[in-house]
Amino acid sequence: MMDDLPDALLSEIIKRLTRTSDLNSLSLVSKRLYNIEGELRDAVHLGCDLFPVTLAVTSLCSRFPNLSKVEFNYSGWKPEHGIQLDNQGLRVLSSCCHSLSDLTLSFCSFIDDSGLSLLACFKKLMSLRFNTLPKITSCGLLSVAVGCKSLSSLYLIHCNKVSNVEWLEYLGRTRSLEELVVFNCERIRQFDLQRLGAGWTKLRKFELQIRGLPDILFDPDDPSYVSHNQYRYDFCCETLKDLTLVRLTTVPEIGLHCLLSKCVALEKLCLSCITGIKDNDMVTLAHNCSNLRSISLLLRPEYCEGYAYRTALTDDTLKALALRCPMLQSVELAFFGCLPEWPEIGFTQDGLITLIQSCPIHELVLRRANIFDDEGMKALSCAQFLESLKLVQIIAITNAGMRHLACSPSLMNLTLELCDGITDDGVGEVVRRRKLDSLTTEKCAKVSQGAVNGAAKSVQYTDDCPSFKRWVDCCLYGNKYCDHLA
Amino acid sequence: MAAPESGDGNNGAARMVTLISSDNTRFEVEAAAASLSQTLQLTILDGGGGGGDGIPLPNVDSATLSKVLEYCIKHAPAAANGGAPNATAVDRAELERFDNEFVNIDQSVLYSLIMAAHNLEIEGLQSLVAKKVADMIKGKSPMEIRRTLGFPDPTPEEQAEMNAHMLEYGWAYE
Repeated sequence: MMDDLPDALLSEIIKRLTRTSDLNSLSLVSKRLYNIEGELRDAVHLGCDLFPVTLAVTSLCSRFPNLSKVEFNYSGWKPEHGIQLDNQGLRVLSSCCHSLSDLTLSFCSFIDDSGLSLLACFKKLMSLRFNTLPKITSCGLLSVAVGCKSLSSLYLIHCNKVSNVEWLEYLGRTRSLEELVVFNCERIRQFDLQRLGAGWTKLRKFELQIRGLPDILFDPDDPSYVSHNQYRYDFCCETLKDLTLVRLTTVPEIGLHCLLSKCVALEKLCLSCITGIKDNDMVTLAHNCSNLRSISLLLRPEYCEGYAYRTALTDDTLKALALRCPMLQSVELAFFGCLPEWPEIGFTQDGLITLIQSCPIHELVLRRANIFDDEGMKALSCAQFLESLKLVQIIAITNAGMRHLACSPSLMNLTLELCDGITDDGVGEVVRRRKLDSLTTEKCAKVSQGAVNGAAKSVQYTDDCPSFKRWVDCCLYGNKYCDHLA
Repeated sequence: MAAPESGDGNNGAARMVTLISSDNTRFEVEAAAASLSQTLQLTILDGGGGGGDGIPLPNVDSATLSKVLEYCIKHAPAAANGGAPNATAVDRAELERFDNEFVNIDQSVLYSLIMAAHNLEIEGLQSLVAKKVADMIKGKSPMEIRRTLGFPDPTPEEQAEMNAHMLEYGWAYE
C-alpha cells in the first residue's frame, strides 16, 4: 500500500523520523527505502568501532551522498580499537564528503595542525567543534581561520596546546563568526578573547569557561591594559544574544567585565562562579537588555565591602530584573558554599518574591537557596505561567508549602531533590490537584516510592542523588561540556 | 439578479464555493476553508468555484474529499487568525485532540489522504499524515514495518546487499 507512494512523499515521512535506530530499520525494509533513506541521511556520528577508518569513510560517503554533519568521537578509545581517524583520514573525508557543513572532532589524539590545514578543502564548512584535540596548536587554527571562508561557529574545548590568538584576530577581521565557545583551554585567558576586536560585532553566542577555580589572588595583568584608557575595549557586541561566562575573576575596567555593560540584545545569560560582579553591573545589564528571557546565576560567597563574606549580588539585582526585564521566563538561582548562619546569601526571600510576582516565569530552578521557605511557595502558587519547578536541597520547605504549590494554575513538571522537609502527604497534595506531566524526586528522605508511583505521566524516583552529584562536579571541576558532547 | 455569494464576504454571509470530486459528487464549502489548499486558493481568488460552475478535482474521490473538507473546516478559523498568536491553550488542545482522532483511520483511507493532501497542497494536512505514518514506523523492526505498511519482501539478493552493509558498518548507525 504505502509502497505505491511517490519518492517525494516517502521522503516527507522519513524526514519525520529522528531516531537513528528507526532510520536503520526503515532502510532494511526494501531496496527502494534503502536508497531514499541513503539520499536523505545528512548526519552521522562515528566512534571507536570505525575500522579501518579510511575504507569506512569512503563507503559511508557513497552510501550517504548528502552528508552535511559528521562527528568523530573517540572518547574511551584504546589501542586495541584500531587506528583512529588521523590526518590521512581527514584527507579521504575531504575527497568524498562534498556537502560537509558541520564537523565535530572529539578526543582525536592523532589529528594535528597539518590535519586542520586540510579543512579548507571543505568549501561549505560553517561549523567546527574541536573537543580534546591534544596536538592542535594556534598555527593549525590560523590555517582554519584563513582557509574556511564561511566559518560561522567555532567550539574549542580542552584544546590545551592552543596559546597565542592570532587566529582569533584573523577571525575578528573577517567578521564571519556568529558563535564562539572557548571551554577549559588551559592557555587561553580572558584577555585573549578581546582580540576578536571587530569580530564581536556579528557574534550572537559567546561562551567562555576558564580552567580550574577562579583565582583568589587574581593578577589583572592584561597586556593591553593602560590605566583609564579603554581603547582595547571599544568593540561593539550589539547582536550578542547568548552569553555564558564561567569561573572568571573580573575587575572593573579590564578584561571581559566590559561585556556586562556593552550588551544590549541579550536573551540568555549564564554567569557561573564569577567573582567581582556587583549589583551595579547587573542593574546596568537589566536596564540595557529588556529582551532578556533566561538568566542563570551560580553564586559563591566572596569578600564584599565592609569585610562581609557573602554572595555579592543583593535584592538590588533582583529588583532591577523585576522592573526592567518583562520577558524573563526562565530563572535559575544556585548557591555554592552558603549556609543559613554564615556565609550568607545576598538575596532575601522578599527580593525573590518580587521577581516571581513581576516576571512571566515559566521555568524556575532554585538550588540550595536557604532563604526560601513556605512563604516563597505561597508566592509561587500565584505565578500564573509557572510550568516547571525544580527545587534542590531547599530544606525549609514543608508540606504547608506544597499545599500552596497545589494551587499553582499551570504547573506541569516538578522536580524535588534532597528536600527533606517534605513528606508523602505534601507530594500527594500537589499530584491530586495538578495533573503533572512529570514528577522527579531524588533522595528526599521522607518521600516514598509509593507516593510518586503513577502520580504523573512520567515519574522518576531514586534514593540516590545522581543529578546533584553531577551538579557538584560541575561546580568543582566545570566538566559540563565533556558530558554534553560525549 | 447577481448571485450574492460572488461578493467577497463583507455582506454578512460567507462566500461559498463548490468542489466536484472525481466521481461527480458536489461539495459546497466556505471559500475560507477550501483556501487552505494552495492549489484551490488561486482559483478561488480569481473568483472561480462560485455559482453553478464548481471546481472539478479529478484526482480526489468523494469519500476522500469529504474527509479532507472535514479537516479544512476545523482548521480554517485558526488559519484565518494567522495560526497560533492569539489562540488560547484550550483552542490548541482542542485542535490537537481533533487531529489525533482524525488520523486514527484505516490505512487505505490514510493513503488516499496523503495523496489528496499532496495534490491539493494543504500544508497542515500533509505534515499531519506524514507524522502519522512516521509514528507507525517508530520502534518497529524491518519485518514489522513491512507488515504494517504493506511493503513487499525484498528479493534474496536485495536482502543480502542490505545486510552486508549493516553488518560491516553497523556502528555508523548508533
